[in-house]
Amino acid sequence: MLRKHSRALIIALLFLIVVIPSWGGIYDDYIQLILFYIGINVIMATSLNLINGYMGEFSCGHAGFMAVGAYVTSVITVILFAGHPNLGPARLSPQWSVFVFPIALVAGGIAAAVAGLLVAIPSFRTRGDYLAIITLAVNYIVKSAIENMEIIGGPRGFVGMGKVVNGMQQVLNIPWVLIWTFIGALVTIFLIRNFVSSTRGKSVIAIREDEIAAELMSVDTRRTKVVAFMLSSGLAGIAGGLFAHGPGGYINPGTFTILKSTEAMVMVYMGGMGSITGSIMSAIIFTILLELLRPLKVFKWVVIPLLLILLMLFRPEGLMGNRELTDIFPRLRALFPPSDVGLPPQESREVLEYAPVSD
Amino acid sequence: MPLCQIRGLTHYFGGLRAVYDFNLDLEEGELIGLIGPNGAGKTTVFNLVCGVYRPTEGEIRFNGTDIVGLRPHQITALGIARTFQNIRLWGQRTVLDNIRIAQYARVRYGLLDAFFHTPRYWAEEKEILHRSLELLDLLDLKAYAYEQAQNLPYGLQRRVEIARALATQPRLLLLDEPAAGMNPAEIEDLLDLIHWIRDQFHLTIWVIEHQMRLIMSICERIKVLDFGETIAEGTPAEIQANPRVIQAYLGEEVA
Amino acid sequence: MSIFLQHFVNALQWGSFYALIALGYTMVYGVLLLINFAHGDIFMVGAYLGFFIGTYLLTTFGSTMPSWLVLTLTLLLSMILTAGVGVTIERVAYRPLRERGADRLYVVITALMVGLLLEYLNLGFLGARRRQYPTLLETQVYSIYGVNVSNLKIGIIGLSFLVMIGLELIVRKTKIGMAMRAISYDREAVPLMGVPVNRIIVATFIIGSSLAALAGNMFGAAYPILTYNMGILIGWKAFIAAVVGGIGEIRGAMAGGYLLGFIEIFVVAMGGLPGFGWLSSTYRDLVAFTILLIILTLRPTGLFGVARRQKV
Repeated sequence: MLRKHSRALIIALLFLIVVIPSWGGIYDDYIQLILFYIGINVIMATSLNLINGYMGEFSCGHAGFMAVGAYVTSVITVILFAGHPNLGPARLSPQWSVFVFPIALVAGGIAAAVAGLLVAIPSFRTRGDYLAIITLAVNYIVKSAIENMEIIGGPRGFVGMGKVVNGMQQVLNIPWVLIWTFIGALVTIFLIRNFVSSTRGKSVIAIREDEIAAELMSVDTRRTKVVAFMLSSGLAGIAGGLFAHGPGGYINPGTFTILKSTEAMVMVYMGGMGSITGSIMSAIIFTILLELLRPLKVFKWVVIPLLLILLMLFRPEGLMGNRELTDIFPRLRALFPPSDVGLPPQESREVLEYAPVSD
Repeated sequence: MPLCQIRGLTHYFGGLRAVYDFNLDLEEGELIGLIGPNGAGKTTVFNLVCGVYRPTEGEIRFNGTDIVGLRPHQITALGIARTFQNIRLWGQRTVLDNIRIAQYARVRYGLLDAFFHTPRYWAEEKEILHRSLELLDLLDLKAYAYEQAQNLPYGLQRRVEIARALATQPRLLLLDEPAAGMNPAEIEDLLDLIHWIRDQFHLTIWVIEHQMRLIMSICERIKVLDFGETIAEGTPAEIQANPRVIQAYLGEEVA
Repeated sequence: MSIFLQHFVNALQWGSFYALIALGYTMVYGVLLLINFAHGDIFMVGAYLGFFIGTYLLTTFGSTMPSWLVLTLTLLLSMILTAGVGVTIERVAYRPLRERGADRLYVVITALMVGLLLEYLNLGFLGARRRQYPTLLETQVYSIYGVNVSNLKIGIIGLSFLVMIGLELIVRKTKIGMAMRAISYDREAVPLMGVPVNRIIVATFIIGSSLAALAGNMFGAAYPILTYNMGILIGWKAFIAAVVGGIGEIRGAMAGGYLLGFIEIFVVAMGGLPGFGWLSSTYRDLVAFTILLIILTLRPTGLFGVARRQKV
């Protein structure tokens, strides 16, 4: 019984730890901010892990997709609910924002997924170092393109998201954005974990280990790459949309540079390529570390690269390598319903006996 | 109609002519061999048939369909599978996963099913699991299903590669030097295995080999390549007596 | 016409910076198959070292030393010291990973981190205040065929060409150069032939870092404002230029660098033409990157690059 409901229980537990205290005001704004950033970073790290970890590429431009999502989502919400000097007054009354916000997020994600094609298509013919450059160039092109669009503020940035969030809180005074971030992080983990444990999804790892063999064993490598890149960048776009509606209600292209992409990469490599647990853990650790090191001001950005260099020297596979928590503590598997049919059956619990809820 | 028809297959790598005017009519159920000295172009022929390279010239028809220009995974889905000269398993994956991934083309559920683990997803994954375990069982590999492929001894890895190729449900199986690195006892087992899978899975098999024992004892027909050209063709007995073949392998004086 | 020539000369200067930096990337890549992401920051280090040395020499010996000596000393010393920085990085960060056979990816990540380290060490210790590169050369503007060229510009272009010719000679005619080329063709066989690979690698870093330092100083002379992140953008661009030229190929780096320089200058120049007013200078980077991206998509191994065939 525990198995069937363990997932729901965990979500409820997290909800209890994260959302309720924020709602009730037990957590002050600062802690809520940290939780918010943790959520965003979880999405960024896990989505990048699909490409850099599972598929073994070296994508250096993840922030570019975050930017696409951030701007698309923000333009939609601001046009509808906040109004902007360049874009005209608000079109709808703020009450609707509660329903439109998730739709806008998804729209941002879809836009970012389409942008992911800019990297996916070149990846058909190039790999490794060359593809790294393309991702870099795409990151830069996106940032540069935004800077050239005066209508959305150009290099000075885009504002108005604060009003949108206020509108949502007028309807119901709960920490909306934090809740959506929490949901977003869970959805990210859910989608990616499901995808990579499926036979279809394992083609991503097959590409990393031997792309030619994969192609010859009936794997449509092009399709797999497109799916992986679009999923990864789409989720980054959602992270961007959430990020844009954080406190401050302001974004500018300068946020989405290679430095932000590097942050995502640090989290992925610190956690372990190909480990979702690792990405989650390192997202949490990294966010907290950034905060702890805040008194060092600039030197925190000396400590972090140094840490990663030491990591490369002494534990390059990161915290978790390519293992999940359930690989280290196999007994934990008893708690969760199986996700991957290819895992060894536990003693008498044959995975073939597992029946999903509505069979 | 022959299962596989190759006409005038020629391939250049830049200025180097690797294969020249290769022709073949392969009937269903046949077990034929391709031999020749190192560098003769044998693996290149396989690569051309599988779509790894697009031939400079020539025609390849499989089951009536023109497969030149198709992507390798499409050709595999049509029914041609292969093993490799140097083992190309996905070493860090389990043996079971190696078999599963090769069934990519047979998967019917869609992306949404994969993302959300719908009942349809589970039903089909169980099917795939069943099929994979069955296949492994048939090839005496079930005990190793959950082992990392790279941890297996060499001979077993070769068998896993064959199992993986079989998982794609092929009609034509290309074996590239399956006996490489094997001792005589293992080769005997391999002989039996090849015969057995041909019958069990109703396959047509085409083998590249250096081990004369293997080729001569199981192949019904043999083609000999040297510097990309076909220098002889016939039954094992005919090939063994062919002076050109002997010359290509052993040099002038012996002939 | 003279406007065109003016832009042409500017493009040569601008391209020289990219080419010199691109050479460092390409040489290290050729020998180590490593994208030395820290290289752009080596350029920055060179510029800053030049700033400190030049300012010190000027203030201490300004009245006694002739200006050409100050200039030469600044260049040489900053090049030597920067080479030292490059070699130290190789020794401390890259070599241990290389020797334990670590996956190339880990070395690349380390390189990225070293770059960040250099930037933020600069920002941390030197503060956000921008520095002004000292004037070591009295500028004189000549007018040739209606084109205004300063002696600085001529110097930059001329020195770059000289250095590149020198590099070509080293690579083609000396034993070390031959070893470098050999390593880039077959990494495994070369040490088996008795070639001291580590020494070659150190030599590569020395040359690459010195060239970056030279570029840094020349850049500082031409555009005197120095910031801690001056290396990032120009580094990334030079890197892309090296790849477009064909990474690992020295001629490719030179070609890519100048190509990028020309693209950037002429894109901005076109903005002055009637009908192209929309093409402001902010589009410069965007257009340059897009063109490079297109070239890479059409010719993935770069202009001079050689495709490495994989055996199936």
